[in-house]
Amino acid sequence: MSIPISWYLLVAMILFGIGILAILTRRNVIVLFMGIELMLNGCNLTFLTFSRSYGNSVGHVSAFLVIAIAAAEAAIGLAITLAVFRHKGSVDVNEVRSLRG
Amino acid sequence: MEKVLFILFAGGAILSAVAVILPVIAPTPVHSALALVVTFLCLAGLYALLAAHVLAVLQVLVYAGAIMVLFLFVIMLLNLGQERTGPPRRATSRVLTSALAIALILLLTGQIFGALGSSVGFKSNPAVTNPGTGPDQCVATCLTREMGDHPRDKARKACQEECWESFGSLRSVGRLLFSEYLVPFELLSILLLIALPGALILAKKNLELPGTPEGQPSEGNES
Amino acid sequence: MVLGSIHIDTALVLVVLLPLIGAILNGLFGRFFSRRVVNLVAIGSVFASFLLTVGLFLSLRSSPGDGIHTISTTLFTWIHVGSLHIPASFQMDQLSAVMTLVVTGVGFLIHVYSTGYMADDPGYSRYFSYLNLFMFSMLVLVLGGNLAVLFVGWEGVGLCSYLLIGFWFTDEAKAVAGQKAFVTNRVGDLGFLIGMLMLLQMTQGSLDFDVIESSLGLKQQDTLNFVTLMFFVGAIGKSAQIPLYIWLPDAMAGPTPVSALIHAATMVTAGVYMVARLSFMFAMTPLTLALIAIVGGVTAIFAASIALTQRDIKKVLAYSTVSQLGFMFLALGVGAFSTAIFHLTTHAFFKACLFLGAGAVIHALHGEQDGFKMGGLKKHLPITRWTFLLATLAIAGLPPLAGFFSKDEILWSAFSHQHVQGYPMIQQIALGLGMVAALFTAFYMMRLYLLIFHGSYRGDDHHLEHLHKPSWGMKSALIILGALSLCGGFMGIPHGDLNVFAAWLAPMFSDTASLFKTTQEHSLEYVLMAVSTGIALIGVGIAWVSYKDGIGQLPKSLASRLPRLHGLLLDAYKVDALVELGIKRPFRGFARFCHRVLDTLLIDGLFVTGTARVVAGFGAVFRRIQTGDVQHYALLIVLGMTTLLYIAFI
Repeated sequence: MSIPISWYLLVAMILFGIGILAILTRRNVIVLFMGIELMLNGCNLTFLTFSRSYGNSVGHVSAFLVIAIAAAEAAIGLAITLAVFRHKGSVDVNEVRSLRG
Repeated sequence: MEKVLFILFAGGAILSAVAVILPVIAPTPVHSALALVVTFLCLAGLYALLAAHVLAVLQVLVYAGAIMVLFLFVIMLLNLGQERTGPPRRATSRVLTSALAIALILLLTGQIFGALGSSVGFKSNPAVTNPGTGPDQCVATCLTREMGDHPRDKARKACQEECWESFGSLRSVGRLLFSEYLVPFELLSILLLIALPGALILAKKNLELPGTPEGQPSEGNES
Repeated sequence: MVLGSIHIDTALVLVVLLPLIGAILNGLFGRFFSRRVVNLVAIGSVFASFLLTVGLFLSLRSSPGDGIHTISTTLFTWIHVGSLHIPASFQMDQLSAVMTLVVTGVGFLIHVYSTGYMADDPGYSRYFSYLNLFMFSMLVLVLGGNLAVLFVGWEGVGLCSYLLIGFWFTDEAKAVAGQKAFVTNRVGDLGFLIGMLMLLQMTQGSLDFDVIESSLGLKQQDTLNFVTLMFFVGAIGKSAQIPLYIWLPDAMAGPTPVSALIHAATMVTAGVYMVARLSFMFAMTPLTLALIAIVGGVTAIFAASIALTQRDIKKVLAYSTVSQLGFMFLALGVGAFSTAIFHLTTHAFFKACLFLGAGAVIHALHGEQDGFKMGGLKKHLPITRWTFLLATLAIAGLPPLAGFFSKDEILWSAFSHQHVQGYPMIQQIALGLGMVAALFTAFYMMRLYLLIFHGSYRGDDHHLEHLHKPSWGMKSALIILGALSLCGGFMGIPHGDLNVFAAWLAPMFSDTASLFKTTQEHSLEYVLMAVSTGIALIGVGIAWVSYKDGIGQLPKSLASRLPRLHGLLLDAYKVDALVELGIKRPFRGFARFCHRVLDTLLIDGLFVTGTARVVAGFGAVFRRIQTGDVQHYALLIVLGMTTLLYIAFI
């Protein structure tokens, strides 16, 4: 392998970090979800990198599962966003505060 | 050649990821969604470079093809325009949290490269840097092995194809999925089964539960 | 000897239990019984106890040998924990036989008397129930086979005293008097308990009298002193010595027969009995004995001096009781244990007679108790008058009545009896105190008699016209007790073989006899007899001269010339006021402090409310984490995740 895996891992890390930034910073719920997807993809990349380096396909299976779960989660999350939007009239994450202690 | 491709794909992924979150570049959610699609495509390329062929295809099919379409559907359903600007209602500022997140990333990155002198830094871990029993090794053995009477190119080509077939291909992943990882696979199908009606009900406009009077028209029916 | 078909052990138990059964029956069902049935149950049970006691006494008397004869029985094992073993046992020996005869005999007479005295009272059955309960407790005390059972009876008589003093509890003053008696008793009981517990430690688990006696041998003198002192404190409380006598005058708030029974004949003598029972222990501590003698003597004079000026006839008798008890303790203090018991017996006779006579007078005059408002009643209440006179002369100490012999023996013992390691000065002091007290006693008792029965009537004529004559029950009790006051002393004539009383009790105190010696010639006893008779005559004479026609010149002029002394004596040296200021007020203040500061502020405020406030405060602080903002939660998750990764991989 000519490309050291640390490069791949760095990319994955950066993607993960950008995902965290998105979650912590943006107010729009949709963009928040996008951030979550970014994080998941970063994890996927890590899985595949290590799978390639160890030489077996276990990482591929994990990545496969992650993709499927991400799909389900995105579906549910967006459904909830729809329901909340009908109640509150906005998708601003700061508006959803009724669980404030 | 590989390096060029890597830099292309990696750079594209990172740049478009940044585009997703920066309101300067992507003012509306639609812009963000499209940027995210580009990210996914670049990632698919990276997966291909890692010889994870089936996953590269799946990435394009599922992620870029299905999930992002779903995102776009919802965005259009909600008819969101510009994200509302204005002072956020919470106490901590965006700058602070951003700085915090970046610090976290740097910290973990430093871990990866052993910059903090950790004993688990990857540079010092031989097992990981060595490719091990990956397809490259297999190919290498193919090339050096004696093939007998058959013409060298054909046998070697078949051997190489065999090698590449044993890693990262649909056959190998499928074999694992249906043997060792059968239970998670089945559970996954159940999960999807649950998610389907769940999403249906959650997104329903007028939820008529048995025993309650006619569901009230939900608010927020504006456009 | 088997009493008919009843076995001796059963008889002993029945003596104690019959009054209890009477108490329970009358207590639970007395409301539904007729007067006759109540009387039958109450008086019958006591009379049966008395008969059984006589039988047991005769059986003891016919026992062979010279030593201590005992009838004992154990009902059940009361406490058995490790090495601690206390059975519920009863025993009758010579000493407790005497006591039981006095208790059941005099008790029976007072029960009979009460049928007349309490005839108009609505709480008739309750009264007899309490009275029977008292008899039971007193018998448990006297017949207790070990110190613990004795203590049960000790407390029981305290309880019954409270119940009976405060019998008319609707009157707050009377109820308070009952409470005062109980609380003061309790103070003394603390001493008893401490002594008992120390003995328990010495004997390592038993309180039987013989076990105690055998374990005292090698104990340190200081320890023994302390133990006997503690027991004496208990006796002070129960037998109304200084300083715990204050309850007895107030106890006159109860019905007069109660005063006769409890505060003359039986309960107050429990202390004397206890000391006599533990004589083997007291004989080893001459220091305590000296203290007992001094306290007894001082109490005798102190109380007698107060009685000189009192107007309430029951108060005179109350202080007289305190004084006579002082005499008994004087005798105990000089080691004359059987003499003390002898005086206890004769005192029971004449003091009960006096109280019952006073009761008859009060009953006749519809509740009048002020002697200054009486007079000339000898014409109207002849039997009462003669029995009262007999008892008065007996207590004054005129021969040949009962009190003469016993009091003379006390004075003689004070003069001549001495502990081998004793303090000789005690003899002289005790004798002097005793003689002055005897003089006072003769005087004030005669004064009392004359005030009630002689002279002209000074009270409300209305009462005189509707005089409530005593019933035959009352009269018969008076007559019997009067007769006993007359000839009861003959069993203790101090002349060798004729002194059957001392001979009967001698085996009980034979161990201790070696520790005492007689320091004077025996012939001096007759001299002393003459001297004490002379003192008595002087006292009686002065009283006769002063009061034979009502309140005479002499007392009046004395009172006017020494008003402060007179007032002081009349107010009983203002002891009650002292107690109020010195003890009660600080206690009440302390209680108020406990309530306001400790309870309300500290426990309620700090621990209860304070804990709640602390929890609420913590909650208020930690609640702030729940901002409701999703991104805050996400931040916390990220932080946590980073920390975990750091920790896991570093």
